[in-house]
Amino acid sequence: MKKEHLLIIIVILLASFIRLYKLGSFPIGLYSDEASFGYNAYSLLKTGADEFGDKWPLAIKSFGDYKPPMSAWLDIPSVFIFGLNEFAVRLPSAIAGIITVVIVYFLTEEIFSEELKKIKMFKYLPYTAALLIAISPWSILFSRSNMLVGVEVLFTSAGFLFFLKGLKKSHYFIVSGIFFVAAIYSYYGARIMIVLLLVLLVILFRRELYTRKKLLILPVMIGFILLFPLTYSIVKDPQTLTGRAKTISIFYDQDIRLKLWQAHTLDGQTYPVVLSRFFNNKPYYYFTDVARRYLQHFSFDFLAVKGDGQIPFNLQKTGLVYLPEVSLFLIGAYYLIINRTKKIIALLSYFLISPIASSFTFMTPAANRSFNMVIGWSIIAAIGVLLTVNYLTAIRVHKVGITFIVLAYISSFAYFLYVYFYILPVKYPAQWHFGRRQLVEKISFYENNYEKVIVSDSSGPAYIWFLFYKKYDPDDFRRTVKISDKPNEFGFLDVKSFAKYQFVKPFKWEDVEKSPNNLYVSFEDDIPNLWLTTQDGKTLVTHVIDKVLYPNGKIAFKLVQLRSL
Amino acid sequence: MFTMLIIALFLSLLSSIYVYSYFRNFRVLILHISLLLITPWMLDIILSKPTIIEYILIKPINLSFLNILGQLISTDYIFFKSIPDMQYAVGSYGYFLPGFLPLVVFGFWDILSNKKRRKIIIAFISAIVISFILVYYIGFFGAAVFLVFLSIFATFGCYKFVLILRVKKTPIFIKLLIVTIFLIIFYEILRLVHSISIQMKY
Repeated sequence: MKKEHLLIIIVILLASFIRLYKLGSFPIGLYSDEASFGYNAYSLLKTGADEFGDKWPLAIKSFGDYKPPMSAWLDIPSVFIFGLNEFAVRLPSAIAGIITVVIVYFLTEEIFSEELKKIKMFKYLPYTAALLIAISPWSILFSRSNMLVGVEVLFTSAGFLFFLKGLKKSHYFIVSGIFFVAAIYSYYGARIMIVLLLVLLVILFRRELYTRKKLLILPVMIGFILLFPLTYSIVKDPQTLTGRAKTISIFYDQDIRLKLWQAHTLDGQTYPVVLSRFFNNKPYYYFTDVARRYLQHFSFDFLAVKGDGQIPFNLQKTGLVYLPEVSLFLIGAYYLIINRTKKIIALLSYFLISPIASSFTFMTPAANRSFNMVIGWSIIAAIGVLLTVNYLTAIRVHKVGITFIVLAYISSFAYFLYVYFYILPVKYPAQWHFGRRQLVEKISFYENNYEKVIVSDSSGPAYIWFLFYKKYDPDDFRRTVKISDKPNEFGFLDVKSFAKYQFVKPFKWEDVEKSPNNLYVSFEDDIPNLWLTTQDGKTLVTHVIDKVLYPNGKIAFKLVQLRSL
Repeated sequence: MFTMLIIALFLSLLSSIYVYSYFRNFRVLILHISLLLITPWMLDIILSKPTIIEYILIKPINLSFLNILGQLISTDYIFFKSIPDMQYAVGSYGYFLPGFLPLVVFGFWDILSNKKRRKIIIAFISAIVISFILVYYIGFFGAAVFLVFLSIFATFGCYKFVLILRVKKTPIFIKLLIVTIFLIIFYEILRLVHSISIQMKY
């Protein structure tokens, strides 16, 4: 075996180990979206329809957020083989993360085919880029969870790779088209991302494409054929196009409108309306807002210090990239700016357009919606690493220098592992919806003694964990489920009840139906530990029959019944 | 007010010397001073209502190294928000108008691509370090040292844009893009003047 082959095999093994080790247990718990993909895969497998009975939908209704279908489709074989559990749900995403490492290897080789010969150290560039993405916190975070973007980034980066390869051998354009379409079926953000990327690639390589225009007909046709079901579905139901994406867009949010109202009010007493509208208008406010949100994705704070502030992607004590990597990235970026070729510009474009879709949402900066950045980041940082090593070799301090870089990476990686496998589960267990499996097990144990189980729906749609962990029959669920008529303020539909389970949101103990025949399930503070009432001449008192504890010993849930004194 | 003006003049002089030493061209110097005068951070100093001592002494809430550095170099802080909770003359703006962003980026790009001018990068990195120390020990006013350099980059970018516009062979869409950027900046200047007139009332 060649030394080069051995190197990439080691990197792939490392990536596999990091992504597969205790996959079902970390992240601790199972996030509601993951549970939804798992159960919908289970439902599709058993009945050929999603949880609400739609036959092979191209937008899964789920919580009313109409999820793209790819994650659920990929979960089907995994759930079939391993059963409905956390590991099976996350496995496709983890495999996608491992394959992405391989894609980065070939992508780097493809883009820098000329540069690899120029600088001595650059022969290691593909391995270094693959290694950096293999140990990247950003990549690990999304590879170890089934949150749509893991598979989307694989498809987008593969589409990008095969597009570049297609410039030499046209049949690769077909493969590229298939991957781009797969990305479109994987994530709503990709519907903007892929269009922008393709437009840029076509502009950039217009001469090369023009000379092969006849050879492009087949890939374009295949792309359109593969997109036809989605187009048909969009015509039938426009929800399929955007899903929940519209409810998280800045145009749905009231923030800009409030700012405009405030500005008009301040202006109103002094200036004419026309002048006030000239200075304070929607186009300018939205334009600057999008620009501001776009730039947030490149901020030092977001990338290297705090990461994503949104749950569950908040790593709490560390950023999305390693702190020492920032300077190496800057060195790499500088090199690319100076030595730009068409392919390098294509890579920079891919990196720069990655957060555009995210910039139109009001929760920014977002690690998931800008996850495509990780590809460009790893490759550019790898260039920085090798240029630094090359420079250190030239001034003959390479031993100290390389040791320093390796130690910086090892310590950063070790710290990330400590945060991921210890800090997050112990200090922030609720972040990944920990405790639902234990809760469903306990309820299953007690529920036969009660007519109804009344559950607090305050944190995440509780019904999905009942379906998931009980492996509930999809047909039985469809027969008894009751859903809210309108979406709530966040655009979600609430499941109010199915079978004997009722889900109450918001859970206010004083408003909940009281009966000794009910089992009440709540977060720690929702039901008072000591509470008395008189009903039909009997005095009823709350009694905690069981609890679910977080790993840090705090109470996650309590199971309560009303007993007569 | 007088003290503020002195400080503003001193900082303008500092950056002007730098710009002039590079270009040896009075037109660029005038361009630089004009840009400084329409920059919120300079107006912040000249027009701020509280005394200079108050302005200097305000420190970040979180004094950790990474937090200060993160804030100092974030585009949110520089171009969009600066210190929004302060009731200064242009407190709701960033230190630069958002339209300056392409000027700063292009100026920085131009410096990176030009070997003769790369020395300024070292000075810029030093300015970040000095700003960080001043912000840590004194207050937000320390950011001014770093902002001087961003103003210089903006001047470089603006001058380069003007040169590109004057070249006949430049593609029309690039000319249109540059003109659009200038129009946006002009619009933002009008907005800034309007905002100042409103804020001075309240």
